[in-house]
Amino acid sequence: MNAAGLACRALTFERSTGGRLLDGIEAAFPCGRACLITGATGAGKSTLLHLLAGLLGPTSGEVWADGQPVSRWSAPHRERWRQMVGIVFQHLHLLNDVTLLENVLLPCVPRPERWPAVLGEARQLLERLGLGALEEVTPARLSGGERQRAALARALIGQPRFLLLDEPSAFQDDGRIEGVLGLLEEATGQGGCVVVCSHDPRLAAADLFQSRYRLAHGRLERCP
Amino acid sequence: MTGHPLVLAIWLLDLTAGAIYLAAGLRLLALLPRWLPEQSDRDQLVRERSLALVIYQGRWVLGLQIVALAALVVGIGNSWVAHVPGAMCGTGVLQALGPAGPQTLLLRLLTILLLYCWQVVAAIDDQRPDMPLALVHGRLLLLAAPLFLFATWRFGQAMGAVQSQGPVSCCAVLYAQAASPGGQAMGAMISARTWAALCFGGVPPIIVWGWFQWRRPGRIGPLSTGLAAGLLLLWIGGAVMALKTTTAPYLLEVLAHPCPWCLFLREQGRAGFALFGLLAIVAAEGAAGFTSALIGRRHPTAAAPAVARVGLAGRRLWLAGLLFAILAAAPVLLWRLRFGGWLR
Repeated sequence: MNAAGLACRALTFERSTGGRLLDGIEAAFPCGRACLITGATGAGKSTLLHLLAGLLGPTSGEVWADGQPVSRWSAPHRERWRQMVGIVFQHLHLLNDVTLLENVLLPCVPRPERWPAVLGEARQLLERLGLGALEEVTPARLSGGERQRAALARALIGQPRFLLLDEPSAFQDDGRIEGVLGLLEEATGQGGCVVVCSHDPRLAAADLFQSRYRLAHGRLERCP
Repeated sequence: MTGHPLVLAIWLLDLTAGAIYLAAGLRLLALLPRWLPEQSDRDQLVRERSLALVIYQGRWVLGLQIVALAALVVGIGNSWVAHVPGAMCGTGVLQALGPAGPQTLLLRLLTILLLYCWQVVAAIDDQRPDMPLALVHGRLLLLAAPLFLFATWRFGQAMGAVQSQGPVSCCAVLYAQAASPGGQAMGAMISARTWAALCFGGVPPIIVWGWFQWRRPGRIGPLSTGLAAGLLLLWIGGAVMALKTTTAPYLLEVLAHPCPWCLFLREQGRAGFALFGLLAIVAAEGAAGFTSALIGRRHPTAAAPAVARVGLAGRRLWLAGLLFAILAAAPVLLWRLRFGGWLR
């Protein structure tokens, strides 16, 4: 549990209505590697990502980050952990009343000390994701693929140590997927821990993922 | 008087605090005997979430109790004076409240002091993600419960006593006390000048100690902070006597009037609130420094935040001590500047 990266120890999650969604998951997602989790719809992939990001608390078991049992941390300290996580939600959760650039900058609002540099980084990210010309447009006027890439830019802006992505390619065509995978490769190359949940066969075929897991019946099994 | 808005407000505050305290206490009683931080099963995670809630609840109880005490002091010192026949200040109101009046005041002060120490430990624990002091602050919170209950019960009795109370003699009892053999012996033993010397002479050591505690918190252990807290309590006793015998005459512009409650009246600018409030801060921070030093010594995992809290207590201590000295001496010095002499 002391290794750098994320790890689950006997991680269990039960729905408030009853029923065990995740059942004693044991897994390690080391830094510098990209891990892919596949599974049928409703298998609990998004829930697992939310647990890894500290957005949900487990029913039992622990999430460890860089050798620390972060899911057991008291509320004020969990914020420190969450600030190290970048996440792309399945439903994106972009704010429709602000521009794309402002959406991307949102995670940096509590950290205004390096604002000019962050602004440059945000523009650069949007440019790389083919959204440079759309930075002043509100998300409501964008296509699904553009919105999803904007969500990826928002996840990457703080250069998070842990990058969690939920179906990041669902709205992307083949050409754009290469760009997304390129950014994830860069993140792992910089020592980041990347965990992707997807049932997109195009991602399953990508060479980027050194570790692959399958989530079924609440258990996470390593794929060969 | 029992239907006075302040009385009703205190009842409401006490009942709300009591309900929150009861919920927190029941949670603590359920979780403390089974606290197993090395486990991560469902029950332990539920207990950890419960404890986080208990800390919020405890802070609410402390806040409500401070507001209730402030309301009680405002009531005794100002608002209820007009409702007690013969009363001219809080001394008369306290006579009407009977023995339960001063007791509820004292018990509330002790409850708040204990809850403040609990809050200090909980805040130190907050600095660590793994809550190493959970058992300590959990027990401390339970420890204050009997005091809280007793204080509330005595408040009810005091309110009951005021119903059947006839006219009171207010500050006259203080002169009768001073004229009694015991009072005369005390006066012969310790004069007003001695109390003033004790009070104002004690301020520089408090400032130096607080400054040292602030700048060098790591060098101070529980023994020295405990000793300092004890000496501070003694000094507070002396400071109260100095306020009654030295500051009060200059504020009230009479030769002698040893009534602390008259300092809370509007005519005196309600100076009592500031003066006694600063003394309360000195007492609270003395206790906070001692508690933090003790925690730092006994729980090495929490040593760093405990030392930081010792420093904070030191800073507040010297600031409160200095401010008290300035406020307590100001009426005396202003009189001297205005009239060129002392009141004798």
